[in-house]
Amino acid sequence: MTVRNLEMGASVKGINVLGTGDFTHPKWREELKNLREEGGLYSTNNSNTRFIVTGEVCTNFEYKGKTRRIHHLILLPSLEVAEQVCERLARYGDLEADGRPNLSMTGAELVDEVVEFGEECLVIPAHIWTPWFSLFGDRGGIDRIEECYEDQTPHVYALETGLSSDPPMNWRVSALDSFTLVSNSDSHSPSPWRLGREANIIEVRELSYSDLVKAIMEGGEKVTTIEVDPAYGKYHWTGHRNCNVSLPPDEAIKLKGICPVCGKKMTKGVAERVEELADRPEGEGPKKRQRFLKILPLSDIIATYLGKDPFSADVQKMYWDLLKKFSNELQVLLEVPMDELEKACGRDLAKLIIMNRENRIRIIPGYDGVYGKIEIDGNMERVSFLRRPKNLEDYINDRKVDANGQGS
Amino acid sequence: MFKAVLADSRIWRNIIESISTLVEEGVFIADPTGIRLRAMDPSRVAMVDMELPKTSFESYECAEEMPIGVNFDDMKNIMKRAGVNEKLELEKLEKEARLKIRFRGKTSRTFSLPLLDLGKEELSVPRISFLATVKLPAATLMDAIKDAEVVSDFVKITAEDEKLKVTASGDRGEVEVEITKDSGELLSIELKENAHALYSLTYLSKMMVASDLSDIAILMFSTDMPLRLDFNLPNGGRIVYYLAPRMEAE
Repeated sequence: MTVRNLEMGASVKGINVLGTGDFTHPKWREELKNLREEGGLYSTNNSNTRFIVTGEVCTNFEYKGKTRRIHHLILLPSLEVAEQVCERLARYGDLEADGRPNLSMTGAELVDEVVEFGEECLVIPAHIWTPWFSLFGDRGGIDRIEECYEDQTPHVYALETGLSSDPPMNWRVSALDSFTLVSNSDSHSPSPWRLGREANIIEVRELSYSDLVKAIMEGGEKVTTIEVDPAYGKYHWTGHRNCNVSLPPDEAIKLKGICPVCGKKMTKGVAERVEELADRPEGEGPKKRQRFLKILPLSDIIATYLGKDPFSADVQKMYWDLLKKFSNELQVLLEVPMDELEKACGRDLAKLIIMNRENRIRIIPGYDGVYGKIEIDGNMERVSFLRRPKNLEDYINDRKVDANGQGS
Repeated sequence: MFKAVLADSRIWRNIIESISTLVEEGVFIADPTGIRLRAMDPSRVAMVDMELPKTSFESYECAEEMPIGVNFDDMKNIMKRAGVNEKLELEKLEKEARLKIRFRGKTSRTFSLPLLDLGKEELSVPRISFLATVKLPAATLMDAIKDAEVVSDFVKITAEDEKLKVTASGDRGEVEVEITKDSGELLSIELKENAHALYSLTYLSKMMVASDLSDIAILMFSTDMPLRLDFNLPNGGRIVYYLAPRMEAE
């Protein structure tokens, strides 16, 4: 990844402010120093994309006889502060070894070290429900936020929901009511398919680090999250990848987490873990709730429409053809009206984009590292798929094709 | 070595436009009998099958089969430079990865097009027993397609009772075009049984680019099966398109 291709990806997706990621790595920090700083945000001379200094670290510590490995996101107001924070963190681990360094320290020690550079230096527990390396993760996490951050908990203002959970799932745990929920993609690729799958809409008076962070600290109506359907995430249901077993929480609980095929322990999904810690029934939550939007990436929608892989040449061609007609992907997904979409990409794909906007697309839940998949039959409205052009190869290869355009 | 001369360079220009409407890259196969190309569009919904026999050329030399892989956008741009009353020479030497495209008129202008090593994709055409075969002026078919495009993205083509019906409906309205023998616009119709199917107007419209090469279009289709659209060239050869159907909502 380079600053340039991150900038391009953000621009295509429609993201104004992007996390730099990996600020703890000296070589990446050196590259970031070439950027122009304004109001605690960074940019190049030829793009409107701003970068906010971010990084992720993994803290390793013993708690109740077990090693806890928890990932934390850090937001900082400048590269100068990043330099100083890195000097401190280097005492706990090798920062050059990885973009997300392993540090031998507790969550509380991490917050203490970071907040010493100012209350606006934020530590946010990352993807808090995923089974591995997360605050509430089944493997190595804890049950109460204070067990990680101890007396430093008041300096933690926000929680990152991760792809496999959404705000309503988090609202079921009343202990989380006072925290702002944020959503980020944790993308390891500059592709708009991955970048900005989850994002935040933050209301600020002026685009500066201070205003953005203050809004996160205050939360409420100032922060709206953009979420994928939690079922799209890789760890939504409990399951066992090798045996193709995937189960909703109630069924997984009945089986006591044991794979019904091989008898080994399954990977507990986020839905089941939330069920364990929830003190509210499904559908309930705090009186004041943050707004959120649910949307799946455009590449996935086009891939479903064409029945092809999101990275296939055909999907990418259709994606870029569509993007040439509008400002960015989020505009296509969230704003462009049906009639304009229809003119740009035809009625069937336009309908599917609107179905996505209205959360009428069902997902076969992800499990044990397998992403959720868009369901193309079942009880959902089927017209889009019935009118999908069939593949000419179906006839050349003498394949039988049923009335739904599905080969057998 | 391959060397061929066409008396009218605009024929090749129209052929390239008829292919490039569906595919970006493809491989011509030149052999002692002539030139052919068969390619599918990237979404594998449509196919173009072109043949230009040796007899269509003023002169033609090709001792053995030779693949000629081209980017059609690049070739189209060159062919746009074809002038009226200009002959066209195509030439490729055995070991050269370039095709010489020479326009011969008042002057001699030679372009050199880099060739692509695209391998050789063996494509078969769909094997279908068509229930309906309809011959009509290409302009009449073009008009019907344009009418349908006003209201929809797809069209229903029906052959029954010695007539061809082109209908479309959508949020923007409905249209029905009826073409009968009485009007003189239906040159012939052969029906094994009545047939109807839905097709994408976007693709059909692209295929009609080949109407510059032939005044007559031959339409073949069966119920919910691919459509075949033939354009026979005046001096021999033909462009044939295949298009997968869309399935009607239940």
